[in-house]
Amino acid sequence: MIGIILTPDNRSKAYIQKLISNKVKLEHIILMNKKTKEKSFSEDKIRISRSHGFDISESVIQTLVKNNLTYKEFDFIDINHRELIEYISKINLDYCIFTGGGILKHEILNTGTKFIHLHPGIVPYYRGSTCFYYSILKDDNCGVSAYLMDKNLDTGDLILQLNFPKPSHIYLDDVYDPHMRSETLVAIFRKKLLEKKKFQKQDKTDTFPFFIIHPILKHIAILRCIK
Amino acid sequence: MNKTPYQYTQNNLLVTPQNYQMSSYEGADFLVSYQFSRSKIITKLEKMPKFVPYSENLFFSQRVSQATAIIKKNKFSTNELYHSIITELISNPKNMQVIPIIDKFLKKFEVRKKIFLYYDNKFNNVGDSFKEIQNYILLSFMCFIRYQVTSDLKYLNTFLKLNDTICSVKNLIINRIDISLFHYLLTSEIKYVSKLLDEMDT
Repeated sequence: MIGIILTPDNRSKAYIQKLISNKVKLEHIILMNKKTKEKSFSEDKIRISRSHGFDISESVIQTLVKNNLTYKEFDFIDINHRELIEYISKINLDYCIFTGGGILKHEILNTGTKFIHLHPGIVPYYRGSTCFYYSILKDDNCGVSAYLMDKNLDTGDLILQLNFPKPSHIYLDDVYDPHMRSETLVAIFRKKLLEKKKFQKQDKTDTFPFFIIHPILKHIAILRCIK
Repeated sequence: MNKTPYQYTQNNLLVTPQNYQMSSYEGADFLVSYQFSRSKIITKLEKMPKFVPYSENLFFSQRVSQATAIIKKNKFSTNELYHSIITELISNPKNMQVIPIIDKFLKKFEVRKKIFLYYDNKFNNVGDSFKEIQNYILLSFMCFIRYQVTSDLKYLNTFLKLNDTICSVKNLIINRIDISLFHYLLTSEIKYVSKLLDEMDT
């Protein structure tokens, strides 16, 4: 049994829309939702998101309702929340796709469900935050690592790693990052990797993580994309 | 002149740290604003009466213990440790023993954006004073040397953030070492940023 935990953000929009369009069936959909106001996007950003296979202007709830999908909604966004842990323990999932960031604490990791995370960097070389900007600067491309989450940062068993060319637009945070991760997620299902259960241990060499990229380096990386 | 000033040094970052999360893209003009902002501070430093161009001799006037010995103390001075690391790095920029210590402080700065005056041998801060500007300049210098040797962007990233913090409290830069060293660091930072931009055109 496979489930997904969605949050009202661009990454969740890309994940759920692409899973639906690729006819991937999920047994459980959980939405953590603080009911904040939806952000509006420029016409150009919407157009680019559509060219990457998802519509950034469509909210997660709109997608779920439009496709008659049932979901369990929580009014908080916290992967380690007691109510969420109780619910996950009850529904007994084998795998759960987690769209958000952050470290999973002991309690949720011990529910028996394996959590899948899609990290925007090829580990072990790119661990930490905003890795795709660093890989554009260093390698002129981007990558995603899908892995089963453990108690450490970006060190769980690998399911799949994919490389992507750098984009040719400026919407890296809102569009290209969700696009790369969602494409990797779809590839996991297309290749039936969860059924095959052939996960690879990571090289856990204690590589120093990347921290949030400075705006100067971020600008240089984006300018490299559109030059 | 460009209209939008470089915004990451506008507030006192020792008081209100910048987390840099989801920073917005402002186009190529942003880099012009950055260069203008840094150049203004470089000029200001050059005009200070105590300014002398940087030389490695700045660090050899005082006798320092070995960094690996300093961190074993129950309580050590961050400033003493940093001087020791830099003295060791200047004599051997590839000194492997001090790298884990630098990385530890780099991580500490990235997480809390503060460098405390004293730490214990488990690298927990002792006391809560963190406004000694020279410590930020010295850590910036270590990041600079590490980037020079490794070209690892992690060091350039923290180098830029430390320099933002120091620029945001530029009036605290008053002693000879700080003035000369920070002048050298800012000049080097602009060169590295320009080099990265030039690589884009090749």
